[in-house]
Amino acid sequence: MSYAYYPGCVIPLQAPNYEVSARAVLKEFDIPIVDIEDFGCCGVLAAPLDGFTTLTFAARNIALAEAKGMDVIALCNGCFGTLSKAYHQLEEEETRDKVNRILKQVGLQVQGKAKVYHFHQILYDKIGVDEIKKRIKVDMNTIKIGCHHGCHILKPTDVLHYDKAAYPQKLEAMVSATNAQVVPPQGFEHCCGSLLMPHNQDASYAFAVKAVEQKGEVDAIIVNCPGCFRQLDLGQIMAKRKFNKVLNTPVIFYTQLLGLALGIDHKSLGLDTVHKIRTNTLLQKVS
Amino acid sequence: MDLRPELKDYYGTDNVYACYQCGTCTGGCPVHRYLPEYNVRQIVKDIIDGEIDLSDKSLWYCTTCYICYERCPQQVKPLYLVQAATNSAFKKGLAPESIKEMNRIVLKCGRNSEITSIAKKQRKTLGLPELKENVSEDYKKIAELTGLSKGL
Amino acid sequence: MGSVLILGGGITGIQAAFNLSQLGIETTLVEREEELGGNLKNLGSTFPEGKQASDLIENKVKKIRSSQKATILTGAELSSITGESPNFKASLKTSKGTQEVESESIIVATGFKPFDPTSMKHYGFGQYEDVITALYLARMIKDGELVRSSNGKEPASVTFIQCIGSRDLRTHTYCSCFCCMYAVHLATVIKEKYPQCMLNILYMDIRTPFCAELNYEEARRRGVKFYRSKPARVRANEGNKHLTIQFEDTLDGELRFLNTELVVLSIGASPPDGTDSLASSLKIDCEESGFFKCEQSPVFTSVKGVFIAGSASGPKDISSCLAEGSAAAAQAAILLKE
Repeated sequence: MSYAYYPGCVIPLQAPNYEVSARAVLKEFDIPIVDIEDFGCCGVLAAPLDGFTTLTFAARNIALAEAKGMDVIALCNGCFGTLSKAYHQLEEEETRDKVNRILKQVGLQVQGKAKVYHFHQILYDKIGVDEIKKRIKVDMNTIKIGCHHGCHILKPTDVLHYDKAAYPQKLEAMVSATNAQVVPPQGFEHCCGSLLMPHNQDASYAFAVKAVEQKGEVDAIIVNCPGCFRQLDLGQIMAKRKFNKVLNTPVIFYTQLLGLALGIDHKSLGLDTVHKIRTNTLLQKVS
Repeated sequence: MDLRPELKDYYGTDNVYACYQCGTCTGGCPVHRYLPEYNVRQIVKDIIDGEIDLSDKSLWYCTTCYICYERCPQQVKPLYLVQAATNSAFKKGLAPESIKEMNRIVLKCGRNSEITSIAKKQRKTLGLPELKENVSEDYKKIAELTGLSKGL
Repeated sequence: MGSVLILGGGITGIQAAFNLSQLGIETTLVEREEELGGNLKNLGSTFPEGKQASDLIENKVKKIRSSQKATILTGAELSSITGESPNFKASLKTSKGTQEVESESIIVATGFKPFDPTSMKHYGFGQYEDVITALYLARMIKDGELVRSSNGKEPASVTFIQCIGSRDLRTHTYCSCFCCMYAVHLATVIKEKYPQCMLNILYMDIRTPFCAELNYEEARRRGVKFYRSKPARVRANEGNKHLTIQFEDTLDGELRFLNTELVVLSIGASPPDGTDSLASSLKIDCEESGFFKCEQSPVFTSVKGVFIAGSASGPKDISSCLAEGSAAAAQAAILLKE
């Protein structure tokens, strides 16, 4: 059964490296996906202004997947969080009716049947760490990885049910499956601060720097969200300008690490595109 | 203003009176550490007391990290209460221009930004499928029906 | 005359057995641990009056043992209980084998189990050696010691965190009654013996009823610092040299990072293991909290001849346990007379 591929609105334009590496991984594991070209913003940007609009925007996307009888794979933490929350809210009949009254006017209806998965859930729960291990062609044992999960893949735990928020283990297991070394962070994972950017640039970058420094001495930091990617990647460049700190840890997506471990060449994984912190030190270590 | 009568319109705010002001939320809030004027516990207290100042700019500083939500021993869901406050502030025309602008773009093209030529080229180089220019008129229509466009 | 079976050899069970033996009523006191005393035997001096726990226990136990009408069975686990008033039959598993006890009424004095804080990961219990429970601290002090597990040295500062496993929807919603009292008491005891040790208590509300309020005042006068806050987290710093507690002081809105050498979690009370099965065997109900339910008034249940006393129906302080132990003994005696 195919999944509706939902990259959200940020990844296709600002983090195509995540998209291209994710598509490569999906192909490798024969996970059938379908692009729905009417998929748009999940609605998270409207949340501070009107929660009901966010719910309706998210419901619209879920309805599009439902119309094709598919479940949704989301790549971005923010999308995963917003769509999951919407799915949870739509379980209540009164809310669902209110949303459907509006969706009717754009020719859609939502039942709340299409499930929402984060891409990593498909990899961990449906493919499994053992299957990933079997397919590894390039051993990553010289690579030290710091995992930055991001806030919206783990929390709120009563809605997402993905992993333990305080001590997550699933991403770590998937990284270990490539034989890379997971370096535990120093303290609880710090939010990347991307939503603080419109209000206070300095504080926002301070968050990003803290999140990077917490990971310690690693060859790369893995992120699961384009927001975290931009913050931790660009944030290290800004760290020099704003706080006079020199940080140089490449920030990559798990699909890029996995792609390298599967033997896919780095260009096809977007590792020489949008990354502001160059990934060549990492790539040298891999080969 | 007294936000309490409006709380029933906002999702997840029904546990507000369970708050006993223990301060776990503010204690763990990453924003409070850098911008001490943002104090979640205080925001919840102001809502309970019926005296929240919706013109306060710090209301918008929440990064939705969900730490207060997870740690609260009374499931008050402080994050949703802050969102209720900003939603109310928006209705009164007090939202920051930056947030409103982001949303205007979403209504225009269905994404957080327009497709730039650089982005188009990058996608082509990587062999990614071409994107539809303007995703859908649905966003504009929905925003009109929910009342979002009125405030923008 | 008749006989009473008392389940639980803590302070409540001992009090009931003591009173019943004074009345010359045949009593069997059953305790599943090897020693009598329940949770109280972990304490040296008790709160709020400072009496020694051993004094509260030993004299009464001596008198019970000297009574010909009373039997004490320790290391005895209840495997089944059947029947109804006045014919209860209990089957006990002891080290010597199985023992059957018949009785006309039963007093359930099974007490409470100290809350296990392992699930509260952000406080570092189980992760950092110097984060301990108040129970562990009480035992240390009773043995005349106060040391950090990490280096065996005396701590320069001790910080209590209140309401661990109490007043919390994630663990237990109720207030465990005695944690504020024991924290204030332990803090004062430490300050008396180690005057140079810095003491802090992080609380949400201080609940020290009646004369225990004077203990709270005494603690403050001795220099114990009180911060109104439920902390966000505890972290170890600088190679475990000290722990840092991050919290918002809700009385002045300051975000604080308190360095301390020993963190004490003031754990609450959980229902003891086996409460559900005992309730169904006796055909009595449990409250939502998991503790046994009293009907109409303290010590009575919905079943004739089955009485509950002490923390078995919800955490209580020592004097309430003693009072209920005596009340249950009196009610059991009244029933036997009928």
